[in-house]
Amino acid sequence: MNKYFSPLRYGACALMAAGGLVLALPAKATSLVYEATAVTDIKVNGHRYHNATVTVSFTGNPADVAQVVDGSGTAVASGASYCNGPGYFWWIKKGNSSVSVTSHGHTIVAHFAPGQLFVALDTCNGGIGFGSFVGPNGLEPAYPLAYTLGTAMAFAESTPNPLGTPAHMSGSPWSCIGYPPTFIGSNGQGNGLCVAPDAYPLHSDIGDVVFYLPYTNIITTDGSLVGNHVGNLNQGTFSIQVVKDE
Amino acid sequence: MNNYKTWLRTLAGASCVALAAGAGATPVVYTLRTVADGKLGNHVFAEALVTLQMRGDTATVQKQAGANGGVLYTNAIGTATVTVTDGGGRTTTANFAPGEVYVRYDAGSGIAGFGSSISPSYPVALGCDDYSFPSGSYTQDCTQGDWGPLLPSNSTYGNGTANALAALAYYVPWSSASPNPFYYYSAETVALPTNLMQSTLLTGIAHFCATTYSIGTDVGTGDLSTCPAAAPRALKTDRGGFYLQDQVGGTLAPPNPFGWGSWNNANTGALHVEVDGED
Repeated sequence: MNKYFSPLRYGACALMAAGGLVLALPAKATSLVYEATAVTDIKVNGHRYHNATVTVSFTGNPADVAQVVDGSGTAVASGASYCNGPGYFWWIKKGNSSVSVTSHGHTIVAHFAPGQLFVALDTCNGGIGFGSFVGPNGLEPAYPLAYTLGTAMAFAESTPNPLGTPAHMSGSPWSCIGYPPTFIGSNGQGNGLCVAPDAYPLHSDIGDVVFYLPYTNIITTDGSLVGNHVGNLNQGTFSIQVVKDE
Repeated sequence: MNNYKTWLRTLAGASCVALAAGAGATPVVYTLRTVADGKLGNHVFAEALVTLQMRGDTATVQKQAGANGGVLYTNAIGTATVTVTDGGGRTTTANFAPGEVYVRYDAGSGIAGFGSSISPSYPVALGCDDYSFPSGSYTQDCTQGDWGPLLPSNSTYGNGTANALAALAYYVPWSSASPNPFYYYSAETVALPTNLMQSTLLTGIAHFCATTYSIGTDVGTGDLSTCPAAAPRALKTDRGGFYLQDQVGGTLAPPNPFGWGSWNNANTGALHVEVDGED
């Protein structure tokens, strides 16, 4: 495994730079459900669950898949020479989202308040999953749960319209406020640490929800992560499926 | 009367024995989630969500010495199912015939999954070496972890908790002789139990091959490619025969500018061990 590599690399900065303009993809109006499942730690309404089976779901319409553009309507560049130009960040902001948490056979479901989560895609660096409008900067591309590596990374990089294409994939699920946490070539200044998430809860109908990132590769001298991809030891699945009742 | 008291004492003693046995016998659920290629009954699937699950008891976990050191844990007693959701959203759940699969965790190698009489690493093994090992005499898949301990191998970076925990056990205490001194993990990782009798989470890159993988091009993450042959027989379920055969393996080469591909972009999985009453 390469050690220092950065997925969703410029996602945070790029998405933050985005204005309200979008370039909608031509797509059918059939709704899709995006689902991420991983065993991880999560807190719901003050109760922390250890190694719970967590599934984040987002139901949206592929007609709302939009390229992230800046205030003048220009596709946001990755900022990296290696991606050879702009146009690598996509999202769906409109949709209904929830999280189910199963621990020892008992399941609770929290429905997120509108406008917090979005489906995130970085076609340059191979990131796909759920971002949110939380954190100290108000926008996170890999929190509450977004994937790098695995077939998820290949799908994000290789598929012509990833967010409009039903598929199943697996990879490494990140729950990181402040992604990417480590330095990014010569362009970033990350200190290797994700921001502690407790101060930035997502709001739901059954209380606040906080996601954690428990299983990591660290640099022992300061506890920082060894990389933006391989710093995470957890594995999970991500699916895009047609909503059955439509 | 004396006989009655003696009987009561005997009964009380027997109860204590039973309670002691009961303390080591706790219901456990093993759940492995991944994405894989295969066949269930007449239904051929590609890149489907596959969940293998076995419900059993911690009292039936067997222990023996692992081939690479450490302990090899297996649990063959329980009811096992497989659930497949294909790309079209069709979900099928099948019950394995008794004894068809078992849960296996080679803690010394850092390999976890479901085995069978066909192969200890089939239908699913997490954390296997992605190189043909041993070099030149690769006749069985998954005989060591991706981290090693012998070459050819990779670092533990990105290959899950199962490899990380095995490497940690192998290299501690640290010494200048350690071939790779960079294995450090979060406190939560280090605290994960390394057996099948306690709740834990064992993750890694997934192998699905009853035979051996074909050999491909090594871009730095492993020379194995895909699984060229189906298992010699199906695993029996009440929905027909079940096969897994990895058609992705180390073949993906997405157009990222870093040259990343192969086993960095293989399917991965997680084996969740949930013991009643444990977090």
